[in-house]
Amino acid sequence: MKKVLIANRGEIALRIIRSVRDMGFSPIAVYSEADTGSPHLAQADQAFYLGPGPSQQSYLNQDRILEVVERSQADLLHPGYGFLSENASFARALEKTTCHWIGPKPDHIALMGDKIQSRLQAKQSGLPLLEGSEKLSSAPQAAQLAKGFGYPILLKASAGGGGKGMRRVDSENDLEKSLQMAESEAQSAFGDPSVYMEKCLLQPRHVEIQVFGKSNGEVLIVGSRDCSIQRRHQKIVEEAPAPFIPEAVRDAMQDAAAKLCQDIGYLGAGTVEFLLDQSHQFYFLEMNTRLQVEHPVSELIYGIDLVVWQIQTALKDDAAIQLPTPKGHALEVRLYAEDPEQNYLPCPGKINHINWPLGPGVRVDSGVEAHSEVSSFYDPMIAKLIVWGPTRASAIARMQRALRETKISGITSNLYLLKKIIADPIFGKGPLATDFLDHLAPSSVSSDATKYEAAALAAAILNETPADANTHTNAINDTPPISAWWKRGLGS
Amino acid sequence: MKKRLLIQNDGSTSDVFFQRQASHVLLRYLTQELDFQYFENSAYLLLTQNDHIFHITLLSTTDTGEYHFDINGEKIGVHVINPKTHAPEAPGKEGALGPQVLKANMPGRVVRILVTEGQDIEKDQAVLVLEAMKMENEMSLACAGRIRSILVREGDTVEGGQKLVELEP
Repeated sequence: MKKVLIANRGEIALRIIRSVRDMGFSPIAVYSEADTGSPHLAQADQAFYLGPGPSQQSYLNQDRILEVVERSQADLLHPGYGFLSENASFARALEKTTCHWIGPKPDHIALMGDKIQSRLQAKQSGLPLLEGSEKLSSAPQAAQLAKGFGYPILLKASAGGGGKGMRRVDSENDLEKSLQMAESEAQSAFGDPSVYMEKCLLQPRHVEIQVFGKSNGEVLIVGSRDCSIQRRHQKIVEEAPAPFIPEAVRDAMQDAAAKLCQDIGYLGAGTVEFLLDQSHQFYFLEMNTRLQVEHPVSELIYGIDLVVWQIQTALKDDAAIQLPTPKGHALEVRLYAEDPEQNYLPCPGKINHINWPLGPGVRVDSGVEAHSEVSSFYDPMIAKLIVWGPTRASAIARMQRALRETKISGITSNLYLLKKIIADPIFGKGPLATDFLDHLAPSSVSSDATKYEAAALAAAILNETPADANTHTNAINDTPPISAWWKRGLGS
Repeated sequence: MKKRLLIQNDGSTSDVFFQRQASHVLLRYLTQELDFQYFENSAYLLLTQNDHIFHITLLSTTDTGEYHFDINGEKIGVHVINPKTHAPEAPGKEGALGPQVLKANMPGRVVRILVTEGQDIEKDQAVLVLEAMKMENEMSLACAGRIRSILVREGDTVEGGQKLVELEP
């Protein structure tokens, strides 16, 4: 039986463990001090301690993880997303051991991980690009370039991805300060302060193509996804296939993604990201050489398991992989422990009660359970809710149902923002754009006035003190002085 | 038992009287008198009134009596003011004249301090940059004034709730 080490945590660790078990293999987990009680440990056959909470000392600690590879005698290692998933030197170090890296070739990770180099490769493969710079060397040079492109511009970390180290600049006044912040964020997130500039498209859509390169050189195009609904340049709602796109445009994007992958001989799962303007012109954005957070929406419409494919490819046992015909529509929402009313400020804390949706067409990829501690050391995403429906409209109705069933108490989450997005008429009929949230109306007063009465009553019941309870008119008083609901709600 | 509470919704304050009897609760709120049947377990409270169902979970509370509920999937907030302990707020006692304090809203690291002691700042002006969960967040105060003291240094690791900057409004 093959042993698969999962060098990650949270929802993605659990999601990978599930595929490993489905294949009849043995999953091995790693954990930091902050994750001692995490659900991903409970589902693994072995768990190895990495170090203290901060990522540098645990999930990014390459030497320590290589030591665990040796001690566990793992046959394969899956990096998940984030952490070491796009670290070419780690992948190269692993290739010197007997443990297989589940992921693309290290050279391709390095090429696409350097966003400036990847733009050059895309240009060579004939993909359309937005105007942009190479690495910026000084604020005056940046100001000169920005003048040429015209504001607004975007500053991006060359080693970046996932929106980190990215800043939009609207005028020259803000340029120097934003450059400083972008460089400092890039340094702390990626260990490389290099930043480049790109012209900023107004109201673009984010559309991406899932690719999969097989060992025999064949590149499968696993359809499109739309990920336009974003906050702080990070996706929170995704869907497949990307809606409201002329088929000819979708085909052209898929052909462009295929060409890029064929030109470099890409192996395994990857995503070619594009920006699409409102007149359906598309531009290469970047390529992510890993499993994407939003991969489940593609899995649901194709009825496939991309993690199983990745493992088969790492074992060079992927000849039988074939792409089924896609069916229906899938939506994903990302549940974050953050406060949308405070500029999406992360809200770590202890989850008190949690209720996940069930029923037909619903999938929950979660990394937490009741009483889990959402740590401030890591990304505050706690779960993804994914639904499938035969049409986009049916998927939207199903997502509304799934969100209604979802309850999380004890921490602040973006659950109510997600409900608003999915119920929004613009989300329903388009057009979609990355500034969608800027135009979403602020929270309004509930249309159902009796809900306030119910809330007043609930608050009154919670305010019942032991002294109040003792004054019950019934002589025999078996009512507990403090309701269980009250206690649970307060997390005591 | 009978109980009277002052409850605030959307800025307006109302008296709520309620009386609990076995599995019923009688509620007098605004101009209405309502009879609810109730059921509670460790996770939720279920109120039914005629053919209406209210499935209620408590999302969060504060020491100051704010409650946030999920009621049938919608987030509803109320503020309970206990009439026994609640005295009318003396305006200006704290807020208007006393110093304002900027506190860290979560554990993190002070990346940059953007002001100096004695500097006059505007409302919502960025005072310092706090890095938490891999994101840099600009922190500001909700009122204008003069920086009285800066209690942290760049590079400091801070706890949630730790005082960062004091401001003289």
